[in-house]
Amino acid sequence: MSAEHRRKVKVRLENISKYFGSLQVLDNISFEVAEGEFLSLVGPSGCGKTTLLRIISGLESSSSVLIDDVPVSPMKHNIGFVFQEDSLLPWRNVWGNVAFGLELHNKLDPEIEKAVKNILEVIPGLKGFESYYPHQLSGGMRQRVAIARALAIDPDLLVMDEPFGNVDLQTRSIMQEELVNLHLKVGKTVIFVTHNVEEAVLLSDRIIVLTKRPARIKAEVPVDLLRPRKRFDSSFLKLRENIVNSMMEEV
Amino acid sequence: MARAIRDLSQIKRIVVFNFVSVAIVILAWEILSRLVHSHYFPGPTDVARALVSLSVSGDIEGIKLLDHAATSIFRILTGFGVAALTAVPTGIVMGLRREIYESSKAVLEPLRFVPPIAWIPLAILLLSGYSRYIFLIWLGAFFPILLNTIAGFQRISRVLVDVARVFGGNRRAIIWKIAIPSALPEIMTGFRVGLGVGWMCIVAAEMIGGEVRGLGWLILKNGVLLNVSGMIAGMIAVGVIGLVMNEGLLRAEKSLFKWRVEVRV
Repeated sequence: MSAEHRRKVKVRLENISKYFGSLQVLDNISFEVAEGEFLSLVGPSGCGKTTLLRIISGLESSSSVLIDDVPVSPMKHNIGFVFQEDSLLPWRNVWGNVAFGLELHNKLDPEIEKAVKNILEVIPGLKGFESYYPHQLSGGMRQRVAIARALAIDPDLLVMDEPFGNVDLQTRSIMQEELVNLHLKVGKTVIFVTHNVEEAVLLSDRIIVLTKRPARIKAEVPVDLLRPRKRFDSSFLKLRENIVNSMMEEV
Repeated sequence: MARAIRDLSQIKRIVVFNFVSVAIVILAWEILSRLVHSHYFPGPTDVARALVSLSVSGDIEGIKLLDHAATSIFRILTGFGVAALTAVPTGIVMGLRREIYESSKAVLEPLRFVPPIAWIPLAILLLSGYSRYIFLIWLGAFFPILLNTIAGFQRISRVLVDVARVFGGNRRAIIWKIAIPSALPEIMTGFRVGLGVGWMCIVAAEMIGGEVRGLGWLILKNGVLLNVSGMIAGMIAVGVIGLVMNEGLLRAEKSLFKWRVEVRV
């Protein structure tokens, strides 16, 4: 990834620490994400990954996260966030859910319509389901809608918090492939959290391994494998094993 | 609630069973009235005759059953409208700012436990004409709507609020696009319960209210005249109208909030 040095820094975290009362969750975390880079954060469950994502996306206030050199704020930046839990508005159909972020950005109706139409073309499997309600969709479909909603606003940064955590294994691997293709197509800057190492290796340009709580950066691993990656190639498996071993030391 | 009933044959069966239930009750009533054989215990045929004569030629003042019913329904709808217009905004404010609700409990809770019927004498003394009825229905419907509205705001999902916030939504957007839609089904339940309580209040209020129209008045007047058949005919009208209003609102709830009803198991 020699190209990475030439790429612009999109997101910068400077010495992030976080306490909940006397409990320290995050310990002095700093890293940068280049424009268009797909970065994964892996670490043991409960290590504070979700908290870190909430800080990065501005849901928890912090002056130490910069996006395009400006302290992060949902009012100033376009942030697409895909939650692990069901996060669709149950009273809106697929179309209405995808339009939701655009509405909050005060876009005009024709603009919203165009953007929603576009994104429904880009995300596989959603066309024809515009008028379905979340309760009529499978878990995988609901997450596709959540991804569409996040991308519809043309985000500066796409944040994904274990988006496939509640999806069955088969759908999960299909959606991973879809995400690889999607990233190649739209080239967004992505910060992706998972505790599934295979998933991280499959998707990422770079992986940051976090320690158990309080989370510190344990290792930074560039993933120099050509896409599309094969899960059973020896180089894939070796990288995966390295990261798993590094994580095992934390359990 | 049990699973949503979708099967058409199942719906048919339920309708049939309900007719059977009604038939059984009428039959038992008929047998009982023949056994008792008293002028004060009319059978279903007497009551049916009274229903017809009340509908066609009216009571001794010539006021027809439909007029009584229309009067009662008009009263309940106005009173209910006033209750909805006052309880929903209050509930929204109290739902969003729990501390207002918590700190006004010492006023609200005792008021809530004074049955509307107990207010009737005071209403007669202080108010006149229409305002009496409106006031009593308002009393009955206000609290169910208020409390359900407040409860609706407690169910708002944190994740949905975060979704709105991460898209840059301000407090106003969160209230209008997340909080109120989340609470709407609960508010609707409040309407249904409030309408039911209001309906009971109006019938009671009409008995003492002094105006010669309304189903409550019809029942009481027939009681005074010892016309038991007419009295029961009025009671049946009250029950059937209550059933229709409740079913109507239940239907509305189900079709408006399909997204919610169908996921409830």
